[in-house]
Amino acid sequence: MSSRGSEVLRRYEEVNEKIKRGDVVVLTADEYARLAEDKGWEKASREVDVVTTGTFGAMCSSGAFLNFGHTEPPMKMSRCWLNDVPAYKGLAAVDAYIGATAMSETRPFEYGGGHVIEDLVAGREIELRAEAYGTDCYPRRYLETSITIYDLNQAILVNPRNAYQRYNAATNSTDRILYTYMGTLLPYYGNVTFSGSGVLSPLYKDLYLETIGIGTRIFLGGAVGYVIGEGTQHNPSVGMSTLMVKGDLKAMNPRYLRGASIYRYGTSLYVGIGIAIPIINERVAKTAALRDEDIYTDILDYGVPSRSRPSVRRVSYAELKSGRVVINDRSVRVSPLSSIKMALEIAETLKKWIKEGIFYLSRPVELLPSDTILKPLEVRRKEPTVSEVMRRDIPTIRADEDLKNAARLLVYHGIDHLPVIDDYGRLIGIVTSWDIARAIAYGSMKLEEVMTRRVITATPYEPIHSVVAKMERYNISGLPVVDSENRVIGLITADDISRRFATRGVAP
Amino acid sequence: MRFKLTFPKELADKPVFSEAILRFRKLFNIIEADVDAEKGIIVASVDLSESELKDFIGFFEERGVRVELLMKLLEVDLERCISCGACISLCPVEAISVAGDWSVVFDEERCVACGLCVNACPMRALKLSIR
Repeated sequence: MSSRGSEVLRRYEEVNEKIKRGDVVVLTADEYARLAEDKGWEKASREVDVVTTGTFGAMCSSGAFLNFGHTEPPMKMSRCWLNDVPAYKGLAAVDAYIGATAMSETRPFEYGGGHVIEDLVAGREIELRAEAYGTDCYPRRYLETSITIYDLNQAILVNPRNAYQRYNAATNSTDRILYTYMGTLLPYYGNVTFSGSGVLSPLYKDLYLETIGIGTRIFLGGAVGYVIGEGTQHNPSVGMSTLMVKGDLKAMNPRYLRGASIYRYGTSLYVGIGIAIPIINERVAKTAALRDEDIYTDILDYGVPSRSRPSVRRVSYAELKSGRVVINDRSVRVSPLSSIKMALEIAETLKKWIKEGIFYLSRPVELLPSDTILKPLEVRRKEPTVSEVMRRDIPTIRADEDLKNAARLLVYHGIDHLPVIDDYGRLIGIVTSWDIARAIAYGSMKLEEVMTRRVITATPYEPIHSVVAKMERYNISGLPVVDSENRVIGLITADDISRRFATRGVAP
Repeated sequence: MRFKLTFPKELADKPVFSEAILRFRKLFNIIEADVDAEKGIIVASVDLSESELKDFIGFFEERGVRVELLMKLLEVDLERCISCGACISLCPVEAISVAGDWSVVFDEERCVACGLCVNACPMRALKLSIR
């Protein structure tokens, strides 16, 4: 076995020599995958020097360093805003970092850092506002002016995490619409969304990162950019490697850098990235030939509000790109979130650049780590849970009992919520004092008719903030607490929670 | 054929639309209905011949209802659209699809103006012309 990055089939110098001579053979990744399927990867790898890839999707960990130049009198900006979007000012006097997900303070969710970057690249005028505390060397304390990208000394795109090797797909098992960074997810597995370009995916085509490393020259936002290292959350062991990239914003094209508003989630930036992969050895030749049919991901249930969401099923990019996916015997529609059309355009553009001899390949100065893992963030501060606040000695009732009895129990115990259980103590409904009032108003006397059957419940180890969120979302004031068998073990109400935190004098 | 009716507030308590249904004996599909302090609107579709259409418009105009024929319910800003497809799986009538070159295409004729795609568009490239 040759070592990672070994240039057995061809060396960078040979490829660049061919580019110079104008006889380099370049295919886009989808063309190369088809060729390898027809002729076999060995033959394809002998014929083809370079495979170009592309992706164009929302990449939230993106942003740009800007240097504004000095005013008269000068100013050490401590806070600044670009079109009302706050930029990070924990740097020197007139350096700032505008992040893609920072939102406008006047138009949140509609306009954000991603849009500022797009507007800058498009040459549009941007309102700059800054505050300072004023020093002897930097006396100015306030600034309002307008700038364009041409006024800036530097505008450098530096994205800490881009171009995920692959990403999970998303669906939603719950009974309500979810608005996520994976787009709008319809209830009851009503649709599936996915990201990434599959057969064109830059990091998947060089699966073991043999040609992509520090110093790799790439297509970034319509100009030449560079890989400057592994991205944050780089996780090669599970096929979720990432890149940190940089490029000169002044040379970029707004067609390939687009501000995005993701409904009820926030703002982001669509970034166009393309990487040219030289076929240097057999492993690269094989992984570059992977087809949509060979690339798999998981459809995760975003209805589970946890960092470890359960997988509903495995799915290939071929199935995702077909527009329909089968979930629980039902065919549902699929939305790509990254633009496959633009990804193709980027791979084609990069191919053209190489053929025309205006883009040369660079051997990485160092390969990216292949052994980093993704660690979670543990919450070490103790968070109050349901079991610490809930009431345990609560009355329950059977569905066939008299409504009057239910009313008596509510009054006797001074409560508003009465769980209805079956013979095994399992929750089957809930009756509230409001239900009793309604029963009297409409003349119904049967408990079964007035009880609510779809009950929102809590579990004993659930954090209180999660219960508060459920109370707000469903507009309810109490939840039965159930064990893993759905048996009622207590009740938690808004009153219980406020009493608990009022006496402690601490907010949850 | 789709149309938008705008009712002045004076007609708020008159069953004008029901009258039209009985008169023309056609199956109307109501796409949108809204009432505010000033007016009421109904957006609906129906199959009508040329001559029926003339009578139909006349019927409403006589009663003081403004009739607008709608060609498109959805306006697509092709400059902003990047063909990402975030909208595709949300459309209840499957009016949005992907062409062979991965362009997202809209069948505006089929649109029922639910608005799901409008909110889901990360580029804010979609707009309902009736809102």
